[in-house]
Amino acid sequence: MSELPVPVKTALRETTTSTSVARMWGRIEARGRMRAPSSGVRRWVLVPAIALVASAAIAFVSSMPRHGAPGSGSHAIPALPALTPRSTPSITPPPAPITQPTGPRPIPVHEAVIDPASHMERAPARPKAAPPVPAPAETHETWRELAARGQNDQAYAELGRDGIVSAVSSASVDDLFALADVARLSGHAAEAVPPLQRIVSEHRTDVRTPLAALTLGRVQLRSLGVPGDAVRSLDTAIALGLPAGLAEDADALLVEACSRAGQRERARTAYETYVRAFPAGSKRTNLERWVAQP
Amino acid sequence: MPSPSPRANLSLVRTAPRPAVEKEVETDSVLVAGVLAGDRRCKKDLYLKHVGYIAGMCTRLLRSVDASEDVTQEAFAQGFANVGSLREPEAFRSWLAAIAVNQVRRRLSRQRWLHFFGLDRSLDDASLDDLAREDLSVEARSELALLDAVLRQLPDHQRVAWMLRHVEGEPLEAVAATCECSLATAKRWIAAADKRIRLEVSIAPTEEPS
Repeated sequence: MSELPVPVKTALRETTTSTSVARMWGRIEARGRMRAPSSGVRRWVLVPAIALVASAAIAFVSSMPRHGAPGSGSHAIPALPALTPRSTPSITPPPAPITQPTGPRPIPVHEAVIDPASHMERAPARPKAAPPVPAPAETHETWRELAARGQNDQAYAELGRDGIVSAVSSASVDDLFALADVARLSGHAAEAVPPLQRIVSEHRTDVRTPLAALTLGRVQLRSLGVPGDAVRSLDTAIALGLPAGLAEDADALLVEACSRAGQRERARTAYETYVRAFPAGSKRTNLERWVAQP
Repeated sequence: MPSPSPRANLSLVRTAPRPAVEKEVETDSVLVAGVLAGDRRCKKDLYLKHVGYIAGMCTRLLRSVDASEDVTQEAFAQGFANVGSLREPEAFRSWLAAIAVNQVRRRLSRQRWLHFFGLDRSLDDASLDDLAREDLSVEARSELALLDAVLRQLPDHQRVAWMLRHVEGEPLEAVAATCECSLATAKRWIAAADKRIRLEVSIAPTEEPS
């Protein structure tokens, strides 16, 4: 009886190929280029914005009319000694409150406010309410920042319900790639389709479009289970011209997609194309199974 | 409109490999320092140095090449984004492995829920017997298939810990660090998985400290 060696890895073959290494590096690089503005830039934007909001809030609070001490028009400053707990028995008499003579009683701290009339005299020019301060326009940057950090679940949440679909209409190619990654890697593969489709249909001349078409084909085939659509996307990717490193993947996926879509003849043709182009291709054995499937 | 550096992300396909001697002298500390200084070549070298290990580990843990690529990509993207927080640059590999394993566990957890609701469409195209070396005997191959079947029945934390120890060959301390648990917990998980596996699979004996 054969015994497995330890570590078991020694009985296994290498799983990475130069193609997959190149593909992953391409995506990592693309992500790196789509990084959000540096923290230095953000600091210059956010700190003044926060300071502005804080000062506006203070101005708003201080300009609100308050209920002064009841009774007379006294503008008594709260007498702190009066805060001595009344329930506490004291041997020595409490110190006399420092109040204006007209003040009817010591004012508890929660009522200790400045008389509105005198306050208005001191600062008549202040607005009663702070003007609305527009929130810093960072919603768009936030999801990108989260995506760039690999926090795709949070980026997806930040985009909100239907966020990806609605963002697609106005997004740049870089953003479309980022949106597709956020959708795909947060487990919402179906929502990765619109951004990728938009790249393929509207940015035909961009050199990354074949990569988008290939990714779209893979998502449709492996995640969404729609091999018919995958065949079309992969055809597009191949027609647009993929670099040699990615062409093998595209050809191999096409065989699988055709087979799973029930296009038996097409699968065989695609397999023959793969074998001609990559006679020593690593996926050949696996593809034979797809072609041989009844 | 074409991007300014259109082929940049695909350049690896055509780039001639750097001389091996040069790579040997560049330790992780040097490369991490380069990455922190914004040197793109260091970033690429660091990636090339560790991608095989990370991607291989993820493939074996996830049993899927596609899922592994996603996780590997994520791990590197997160690693490069947060490399400034790495306290010991020479420990880059284990730090990155911990990020990757964390991602793997999240993905496995999500898959389990999707499977529960009948929505799991992930493809298991990298089981252990699928990954067997060409020259492996039929018997060993069938043992791999058996091992794969037993591993699938284990809880994720036990499976990940056992695989890191006995498939990847990591020392216990590294397993504990990668799984982000104590050494005692890692040992307990591995022992629990080992007990179950050795009932069904013929595997070389190991001397595991208790």
